[in-house]
Order: sequence, then structure tokens, then C-alpha cells
Amino acid sequence: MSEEVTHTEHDDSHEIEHLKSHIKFYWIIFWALIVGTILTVGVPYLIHFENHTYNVILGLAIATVKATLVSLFFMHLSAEKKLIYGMIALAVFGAIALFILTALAYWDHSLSYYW
Amino acid sequence: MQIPYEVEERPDTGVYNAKLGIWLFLASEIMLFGGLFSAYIFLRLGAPEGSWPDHILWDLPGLINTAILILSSVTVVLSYIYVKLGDFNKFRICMIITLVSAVAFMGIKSFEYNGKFKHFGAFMKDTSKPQGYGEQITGHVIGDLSDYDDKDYILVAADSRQPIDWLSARELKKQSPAHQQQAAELAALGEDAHDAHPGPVFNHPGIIATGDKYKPKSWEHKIKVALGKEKHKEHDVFKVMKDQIFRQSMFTPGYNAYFAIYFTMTGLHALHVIGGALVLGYFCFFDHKRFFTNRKHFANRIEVGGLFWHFVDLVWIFLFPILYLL
Amino acid sequence: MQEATHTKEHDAHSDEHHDHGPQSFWRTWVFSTDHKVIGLQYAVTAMLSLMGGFLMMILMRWQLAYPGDPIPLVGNILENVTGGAEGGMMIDGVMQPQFYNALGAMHGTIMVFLGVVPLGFAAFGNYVMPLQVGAPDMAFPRLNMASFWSFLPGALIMFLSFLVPGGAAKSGWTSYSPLAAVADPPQSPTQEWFISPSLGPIDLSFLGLPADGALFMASIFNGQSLWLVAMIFLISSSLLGSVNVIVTIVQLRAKGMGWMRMPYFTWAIFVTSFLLLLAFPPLEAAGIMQLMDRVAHTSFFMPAGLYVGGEVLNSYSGGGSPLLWQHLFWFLGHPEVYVILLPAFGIVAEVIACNTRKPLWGYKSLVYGTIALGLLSFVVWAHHMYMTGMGAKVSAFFQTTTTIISIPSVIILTALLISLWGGAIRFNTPMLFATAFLPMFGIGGLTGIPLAFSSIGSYLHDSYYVIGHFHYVVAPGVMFGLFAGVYHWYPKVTGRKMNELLGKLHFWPTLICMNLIFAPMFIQGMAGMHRRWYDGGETYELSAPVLHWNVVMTIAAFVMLVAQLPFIWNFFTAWRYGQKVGTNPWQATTLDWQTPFPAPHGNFDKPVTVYRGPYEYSVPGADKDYTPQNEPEVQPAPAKVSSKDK
Repeated sequence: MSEEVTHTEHDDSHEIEHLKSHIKFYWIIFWALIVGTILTVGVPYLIHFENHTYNVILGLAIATVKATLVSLFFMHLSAEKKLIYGMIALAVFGAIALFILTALAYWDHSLSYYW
Repeated sequence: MQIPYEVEERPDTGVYNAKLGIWLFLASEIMLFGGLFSAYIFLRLGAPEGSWPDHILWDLPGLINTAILILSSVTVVLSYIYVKLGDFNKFRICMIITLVSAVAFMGIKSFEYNGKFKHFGAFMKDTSKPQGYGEQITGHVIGDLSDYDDKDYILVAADSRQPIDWLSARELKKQSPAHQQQAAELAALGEDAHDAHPGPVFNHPGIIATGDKYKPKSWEHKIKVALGKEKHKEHDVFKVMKDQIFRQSMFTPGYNAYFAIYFTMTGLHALHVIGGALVLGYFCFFDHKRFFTNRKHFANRIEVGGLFWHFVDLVWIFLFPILYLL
Repeated sequence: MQEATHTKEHDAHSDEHHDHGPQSFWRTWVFSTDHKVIGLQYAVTAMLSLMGGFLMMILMRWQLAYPGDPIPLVGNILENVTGGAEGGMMIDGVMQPQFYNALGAMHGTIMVFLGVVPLGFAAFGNYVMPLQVGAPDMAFPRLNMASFWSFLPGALIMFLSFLVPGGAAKSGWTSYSPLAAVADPPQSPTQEWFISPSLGPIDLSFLGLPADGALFMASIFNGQSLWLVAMIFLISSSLLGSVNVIVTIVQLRAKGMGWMRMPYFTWAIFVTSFLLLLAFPPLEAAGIMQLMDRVAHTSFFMPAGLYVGGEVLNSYSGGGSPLLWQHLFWFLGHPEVYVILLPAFGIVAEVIACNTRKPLWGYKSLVYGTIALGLLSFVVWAHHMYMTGMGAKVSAFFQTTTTIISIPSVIILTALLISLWGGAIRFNTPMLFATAFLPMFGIGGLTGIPLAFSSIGSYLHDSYYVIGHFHYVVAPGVMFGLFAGVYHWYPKVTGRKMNELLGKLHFWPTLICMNLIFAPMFIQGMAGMHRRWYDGGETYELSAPVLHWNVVMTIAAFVMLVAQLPFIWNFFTAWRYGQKVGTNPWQATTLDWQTPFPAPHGNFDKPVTVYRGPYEYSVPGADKDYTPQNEPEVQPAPAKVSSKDK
């Protein structure tokens, strides 16, 4: 019995240390996100791409990196259960089907005026 | 009757009910906003070349709002950590910062909305165009729109920042000879059209330059001038003949496809902010006794509420560049 | 630490105590959190909606067979309800095109979104699924209640939209823009509001709304806008429901209920809820956008330079895409077909396994087929859009995926068909409906294959052939599955069986009439008749050789209406006077039949443990011809029988 108690206590203190280390880490992520935001706003002013498409691609790339940071660390997806990953995979499958296939249908279309 | 695994994790799946539930809900939210994002893609790809108004919103409020949401995301995840650590006061401080952030976000959003609703625009008739209209003029109405009820014209202080049809200088050269001449003048000036072109030029017979100047009174304008974003402290005033107007409106959702998607997406996002703040506020101020009676359950609730909040942040991370910057 | 656990226990205890208190009528039957009561609430609402949609179809069939003739009996009543001659819906008892359009749009909407899906997915899913997985209730009982109470307002708004000025939505159940966006424009802010001429117009000026507010109200309170509002309610409801179902199945399965021990019906509901979860939200987004188009005059689906009534439309900015609506609608619309179909598959599988007294043939292929069907259904939707000018490459992609998706459907159908082989079949009423489902659905499915090809689809598009095809899937197909479910689980709910003779009186005429109604549609469609002609094609020369089928179909529809009377009579009288039966009248193996009767709030007396697969009928060496899933193995198993379904 006593062994068990000490065991859990040990676990608890370990857990607490673990959680406390998280706090600092979350602030690091916070600053990374802020830097990312400033980059998104700033880059078009610094670099003038002739083709606007590059701006769009760069902006979306930075946004994707930020979104990845939020979902991995704030939403704890870096260490989540398989089940949750499965559910997200299904949603991603659905979203990709929606985006890719509507975009394909957009590009391969004979009546361009109505689009 | 007790529903199993409301608080404790089910051993073989490793999650408690609400966690799976919120992730499924977020999956459906991904598809909901996915529908709107695909609408955005369609509208943008389908817009005639050069007519999509890129970078027309003032990005500073959006930038501040992004920072606010990121901050609130950190505080909400910290409040979850403090529940786990058993530190009620710090939990509450973090949660209150989150709620204050939500209020600040909504405040800035309503400031932006208000500015749009006071902005006027008109599409001028042009029978040579298939859609029935040609040039558009945007700006502030001198006085109030209802002042012109008994007149056949409207006086508009045209924006100097958007020359014609929302075009930037690099797209002007594709347009009519007058526009090309304007582009050449801009090139001669050697300055970016966004900041220092000599003021809008209109070719439509229904838009007549009066030579007057008008100083906009809005806070947006004052802040921009103070920050040096706006070089023109005064705007040129034009007389817009009513019988030449194809359609006119304030910058409401109906103004054009861009504002339609802007208001719909940010509006739906704002509803999510309000909903999330209500739930987190309930946990913070009305459900807090559970912190002391059943901390595991309380931590679960904060985790689930927090996951929703992060998702709201996540959506904004994409909304900000596609609506404000690109 | 000890204190914490103590309070935790106390907390759980007090929750438990709270639930056991005597509950008022309102908490028990109206705002109930018990999945069984909510299932019944869904069932009642859905069956009333089905009846409503069916009666609308009867009115339409009269108009198609006898265009220009006053509708007997109800013509004048309808005229009064819809605003008299001024309402423009019915004049002198004769149906006008506007009213036919409204009935057509609402028949489709009501049957799909208020009838078949709520009955199959929400009612049977709610009532049977938690029992089958051995759960005490749904995972989120209050969310379940919220789901129903979001569904009901949607249903009421949908039905009541017939009473607003201009009548119900008239743009088809698909609500294609820009037609739907410009339909029913608010005439003026001061328009009169009527419920019926006998009540007189209701003057809303006492509300003191400013002109803008009144115009806003008028832009909401018209048929098409209310359709959209109702759809947003219904979609929210089904999202809550599907989250609940998935969590229940994943988290609340009883001990020992592995994935491959779940009854097939539960699998079907599981896949269905994923379809609802992921395919419905884009339509919700589209609904919000179309509502914005109508209320805030945005141009999501409005192209520039649109001419209405000969004049260019200048109240919209243009710049939108009509095809965007079609994409978002059919992104739901096609998975919706499987949302309709899969619960019926599940019911039929349960009924067949139980009444053939042998295990389902190919349980695993049924399950994997269903999962494949679910995944594939997300990538086939544009086969509804061949006529929109889609390019050849994309058309080729979608016709390929469409033909591929027929494979899992055929696997499921074949497995069910082979399950009949060599069984000692009990032909009771549920089994009659279940066996009739197989060929009827087969006809519906096979006639769909030509439509998968863009070349043939271009010819048959929007013709009666299409109507015949999907009605064979939904009416004699899915509806038969649902009837089988009603007859099969009726004793579970009431403890009494429905009358067998009345059941057969219901089944045989319905089967014959269904075929008489829908088979001629293939003939008419191939002759080129268009699905939306309000006069049944009378004024078109091309329909002359096939016009007489209209009368045949209409008479069959009226006979089918009469054939439903035994069912309705049976349904209500059996509640009080039906033959009393025990807890497991069909000697079924699945857990839904192993609860005490009446099943208490919480379903099972003690936690259930599952020891075997779902369909252990006629196990060699067993003392009876069925072995319930929760029956422990007393002595060492008489060999690998149970390993078959593992």
C-alpha cells in the first residue's frame, strides 16, 4: 500500500515538473507565432514579387506553419491518441476532396463566362 | 444512471467522451469553413483579371487582432496547465485574460465593420460592358447620403488610395489609354502608386471633378495620417450624377464579391469567438466549484473549451492573410 | 489525495441520485434525455412528414394526369389556405404552375430531410444503436435532446413556409442559384401578411418597424428564405446527432464488443454519421451564403450581367458563381444518397439475419464495403453536373469514380442476397419488406449505372428516367427497409406485435403500386419527358406516345394511398390491442433484444459483457437456434464456431 502511494507521489511530482516545463515552451511558441504574423505582413513590403502569385503562396505557407504550430502544441496534436488522428485524417480527406475537385472542375470547364 | 467515460479515459481508445466529441465537432467545423474557403477560391479565381481588390483593407487592426487571438490562445492553454497544477488563482487570471482578449477582438472588429459601413461606392453605367457597368468610384459622401435625396448628384470625396477599379499601379498598364497615361505619370514620379499617385482619374461622363478638397473625419483616416500610411490628408471631391449610376451602396456585404466573402467569413468567425467566450466564461465564473470537487472533470472541460478556442484562432490565422494581405 | 477521490465519488453519486428522481411528464416525454424517447420523437415527426410529403405527391400526380381539372375534395380548401385566387397558387380549385413548383420542391425536401433521414438515421439510430452496442444511453444525452429540438423547429418552419406570402420554396429541392436567389423577391416593405383569407390579412405595422426593418423581415419571411433557415436548423441538428452517434459507438461499446462484433446496423449508422458530419457543413456554408444573397444582396452565386425579365439585374454586384452552389450542394447531395441508403441496408441486414435463422453471409465484406462506400461517396458528386459544361477530363474522373462506387453497393446487395440461401426463412411482414427491398433497390441501382456516363447522362439529364431511378432507390428501396424496421422493432417499443394479416395487406398492394408508379417513369424519361413540366407533358408533342402512362401512375398512387391505411390502423391499434410478446419475440441474438421490457432509463440492469459475434443463429450443437451476444460460454466452446465472426 505504502509503496503504491510513494509511487503515485513520485509520478505526481514528475508530472508537475513536466507541466511546468510546458509553460515556458508555450511562451516560446507564442513569440514564434508573433514573428510569423509580422513576417506575413512585412514580407510583401520588403520583397516586391513581379508575380502576385508568389505573394499568395508565401503568405499561405507562413499561415500553414503557424497553424501547424498551434495545432501541434496548443491543441496537443504532437502527442495525441491514434483515434483522434484518424478523425482528423477523415476531415482532411473531406476537405481536400472538396478543394481539389472543385478547383479541378473550375480549371477544366468549357463555359468560362459563367464561372 | 451514469454515462461511462465521461471523466475517465476509456482504456482501449485512450480518450474521454467529450474529447472525441469536440474533435468530431472540429472536423465538421473544418468542413464548414472549408466550404467558405472554397467559395473564396472560386470567387477569387473567377473574378475578371485585376478586379479582385487585393490588399484593400487596412492591415493594422487585423494585425492587432491576430496578436490578440494568439495571446488568448496561449493563456487558454496555460489556464489548462494551471488547472492541472491545482493553482486556481493563476487559472482564473489566465482565463480572464482570454475573455478580455475576446472582448478586445470584438471591439476592434466592430470598429472595422463600422468604418466599412460608412464608406460609399458606386458603379457607373457602361452599356459597352457585358455586365452593364464600368468604372466605380469609392470614397466618403460629403455630409449624409440622405442630404442628396432631392438632388440629381452625390458629392463624393474619392479615395486616393484606390485609383480605379481597385487597381494597383502594376495592373493599370493593362487598362484603357487614359489609365495607361496615368500609369506612365506614376512611373515618371518614381513612386509606388499605393502611396503617392496624384489622385484618382475618372473617364466616366457621370463623374465630374469639382476641384474641391475634403478632409475625412474618420478615426481610421486620422490614425493612418499619423502613422504616415496615408500621404493625402485631403481627398478630391467629385460630383457623381445619379442617373449615370448603375448601382450604389455603402461597403456592405452586397457591395461586391470581395466584401460578401469578407463579411460572411469574419462574421461567422466572430460568432465563433462569441460562442467560445461564453462557454469559457461559464467555466470560469459559474462552474468553478468543480475545480475543487472534481478537478479531473474540470480540467477536461477546460481542455475541450480550449481546443475549440484554438480552432477559432486557427481559422483566423488563415483569414487574416487571405482577406487582409493577399 | 484521498479526499479528492472521496469528493469525486460523492460527485458521481449525486449525479446518479439526481437522475433517479421522479420525473414530470415534460421531462419524460417532451424534453427527455432518454435516447429511446428521443428516437420515438424522431420517429413520430418523421412519419408525419413522410405522410405530408406523400400527400403532396398525390396532389402533384393529380395535376400531372389531369392538368387543368379542379382537384376533387380538397381543391377549394387548398385555395383558401394558400391565399385564395389572389395568392395565385390555386384558382377555382385548379393547381397553378407556382403551386406545382412549390409542391415539387417541398416534396423532395420534406421526404429527404424531414422524412427518410430522420426516420432511418435519427429514429432507428437513436433507438436501436445504443441498445445494440450495450450502452446505457447516448454519450451526450442533453446534446441528443438539443439535436431533436433543433430538428423540430426546422421541420415546422419548412411546413409553415406554405403559409407566407408567395408560398413555399419553388426552386426545386436542389435550390439552384441564381433562380433560387431571385425567387420570391420581397415585393415591398408594407406587404400584407396572411395566414388565410378567412382569417384576414395580418397588418404587422403595429410592430413599428422602420422601412429597412420591414424589408428585412420581408426578405426573411418568404418561401425560399425560410427553406434556407429551416435547412440551417436541420443541418445543425444532424451535426449534433452525428457527433453523438460516433462518440457513443466508439466510447460506449459494452465490454467485449469488438469492432467486428458490432451488428451490421450499428456499422451502417456509424458510417452514415461520418457522412453527415463531413458532407453537411459545406451545404450549411452554402445555405448561409444563399441566405446572404437573398437578405443582404451579396453575389456569392450571382454572375455579373444577369438578365431577369429582360432587364439587367442591378441590385446585385455580380461576380459570383452559380456553379459554386451546385458544387457545395452536391458535395452533400451525393453522400446524402448513402445517408438515406445505409440505415436501410442495416435494417434489412438485421431482419434478414434474424428471419433466415443463419449468420449473414460475408459480414466482413459487408462492413468493408460500407466503409468503402462512405469514403468513395465524397469524390463522385459532380456526376450530377455533367450538363453544366464541365470539361471532358473532369467528367471522365467523375464517371470513373461513379462506376467504381457501384462495386461496394453490389457487394453489399450480393451479400444480403446470398444470406437468403439455404435459410429456413420466416416470411413475416418485416421479412417480406426486407426481401422486397433487395430486387427493388437492385433496379434502382442498375438503372443508375447509365447515368454515371456523361454521354448518356447528357441525354437523360433532368428527365423522368432520373426520377424513376432515384425513386426506385428511395421509395420501394429505402422506404421498404424502413417499413421492415418499423414492423421489426415495434415489439421492442410496445411489447406487442403488429398484426400479420394487416401487414400483408399493406405489403402486397404497396409493392405492386410502387412498381406501377415508378417503372413507367423509365419509359417516359427515355422518350424525353422533362421532370419539371407542371402539366405532365400535355403540351409537348414528344410526350404524346407515352402520355397515357400518367393516368396509370396516378391511379397507382391513389391505390397506394389507400394501401397505407392498413398500416396506419395497424400501427395505432396494435399499441393497445396487439398480440403481447416477450422481450425477444423474434429470437434475435443482438443486444437490443436482451434488455428487460420495458427497457428502463439506462437500458440494462447490470453492465453487459459480449462474448460472441452478432449473428450466431443455428449454431451446431447449441441447445437453441440462436445464441445472444451476451450469453457466456458455459463450457469450452464446441469448436471454432465463434471464431468465425471474430
